[in-house]
Amino acid sequence: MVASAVDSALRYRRASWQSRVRSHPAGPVTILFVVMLAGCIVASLLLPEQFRFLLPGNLSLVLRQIPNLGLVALGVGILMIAGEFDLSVGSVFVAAPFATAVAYDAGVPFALAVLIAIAIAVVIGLINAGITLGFRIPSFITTLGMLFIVRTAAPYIVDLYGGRKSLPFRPPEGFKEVLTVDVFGFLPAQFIWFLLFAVLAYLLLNRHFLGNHFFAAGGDPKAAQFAGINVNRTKTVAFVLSSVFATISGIFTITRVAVAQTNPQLFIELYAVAICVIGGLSLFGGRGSVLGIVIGACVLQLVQDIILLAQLPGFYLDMFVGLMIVAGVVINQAIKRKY
Amino acid sequence: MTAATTTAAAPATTATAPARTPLFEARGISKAYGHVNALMNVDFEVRHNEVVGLLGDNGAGKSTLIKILSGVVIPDRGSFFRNGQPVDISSRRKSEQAGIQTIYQDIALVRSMSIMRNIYAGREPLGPLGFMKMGEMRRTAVEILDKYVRIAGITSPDLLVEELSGGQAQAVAIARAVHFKRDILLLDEPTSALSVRETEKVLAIMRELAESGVSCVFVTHNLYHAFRVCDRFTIMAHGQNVKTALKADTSLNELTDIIMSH
Repeated sequence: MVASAVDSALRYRRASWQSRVRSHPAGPVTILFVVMLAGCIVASLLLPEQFRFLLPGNLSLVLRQIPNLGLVALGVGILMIAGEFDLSVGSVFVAAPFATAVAYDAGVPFALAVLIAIAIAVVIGLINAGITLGFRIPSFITTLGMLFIVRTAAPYIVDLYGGRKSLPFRPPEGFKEVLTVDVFGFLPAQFIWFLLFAVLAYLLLNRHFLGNHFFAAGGDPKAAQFAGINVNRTKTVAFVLSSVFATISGIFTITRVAVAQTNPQLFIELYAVAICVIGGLSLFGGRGSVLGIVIGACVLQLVQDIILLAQLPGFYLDMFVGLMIVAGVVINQAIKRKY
Repeated sequence: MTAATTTAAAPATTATAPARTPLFEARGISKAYGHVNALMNVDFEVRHNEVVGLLGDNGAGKSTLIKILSGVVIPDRGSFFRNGQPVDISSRRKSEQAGIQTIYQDIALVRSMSIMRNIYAGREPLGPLGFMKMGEMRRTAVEILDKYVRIAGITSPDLLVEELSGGQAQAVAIARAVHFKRDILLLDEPTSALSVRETEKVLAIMRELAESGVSCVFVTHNLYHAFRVCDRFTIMAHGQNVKTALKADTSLNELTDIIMSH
């Protein structure tokens, strides 16, 4: 029964790169992105006056917008892989960074003000997890409730703080610089930070034991539990990460626009889910990749840019997002039926 | 408890007593759910290098016994011994520490994950900061696939479990259990949803395992499968062990009759 190591190495090799590309969850979206990008470049070369895609200003704008939603989607995506949803990110994205602005405005040291926002995110994530897992409620419902609770609680807190619905946010110069400078004159720093966070998320999902547990808990909670994984604890960590990523994205945003406000960012949570679905993550958990999320965020922003450049009505983006979510469900079901 | 135990209906088989202390013994196990006695003073043992069939009709108590041996259900009464020494199997972890692993057909592995990730799910070899030792995982996964159960058709530990057949997936689950030092495998209806060819593979694996020192408890309704691979049989009915017999001392017809008569 025992084979030599040489035999083993010959019999069990890595899957071929073709096979890995084919079976990679981000395969279809990567092809879609490349086709769309090629189409935009061709259209821009053919119609340089009407379709100004290749103008440095336009490219810089696209890259500047991607991290905003992309960071939220990274957290939501990790949670989706663990088998749960988080719609509360839409409110956390606004409320937690607002707390940073309020605290900093009140004289709290900047690092502590940021930590306050992170702490709020952690608490919201823990509450989401506690209610969802403790009472076995679908996370869609729990976090939808939390979305509205946080959304309405934020203005209430604002009233306590003198009723200012927006605050100028001027963080220390060094912090602002590393988040807003243009590298090489055109590459927004926030895009680079987004890629760095994506690398961290990749390492977490693919190289860290927690990632293995996220995939297992989302793919088959019973089997995961049977293998000795504490499914509830694993999902709780994912809920917290989702909130924290939304908060980091919010802090990036208020730093970029230099104002913190409590007005809700409509549909950010749905856009985040859409990015994940476009990126090949399963709505039923257990499948997905960081590459898919990154490219999904790029695709969504590209579509928005095409709509702007082609001077199409803005609701086309919503239509695209809606179509992508429905298509995602259909594809997910098809995959489930296949196996 | 003697080597081959009989409690209620039939006499014990004593002709071929084992030379060694049983690998694992459960003595006097009772479990009631309200007024329903799921198990009544049941003795059960697993010897070294054997496949023992745990047989019986629905409601006989097989599942309760398996859950108790897995550490999922705590018995009201009874004691457990490994190589003659008392052991605690009051939780799944403790049961695993006692060398027992249950392999359920439908929840043995996460289908959307690769073989390698499944093998290490919950037991990842860790380096600094909780990062997995991927090289070691790959090397050992290859070793596991080759060493314990040669699984035809598996070309890479990167294959997703959902790409495997039912028999291949069972074999991977078994290989994982054996690698992690479990020497008593409880296989709960491992062949019930498999094709004829796949069933043959799983039965062959059980025999190979028994010969290489891993004893198997084969829980099944299929007496034909059981009779082909088991060295010994324990038949349960109405929460009791009604007969334990060596293969040499019984026949398929007798086993069928005993089950039908209860």
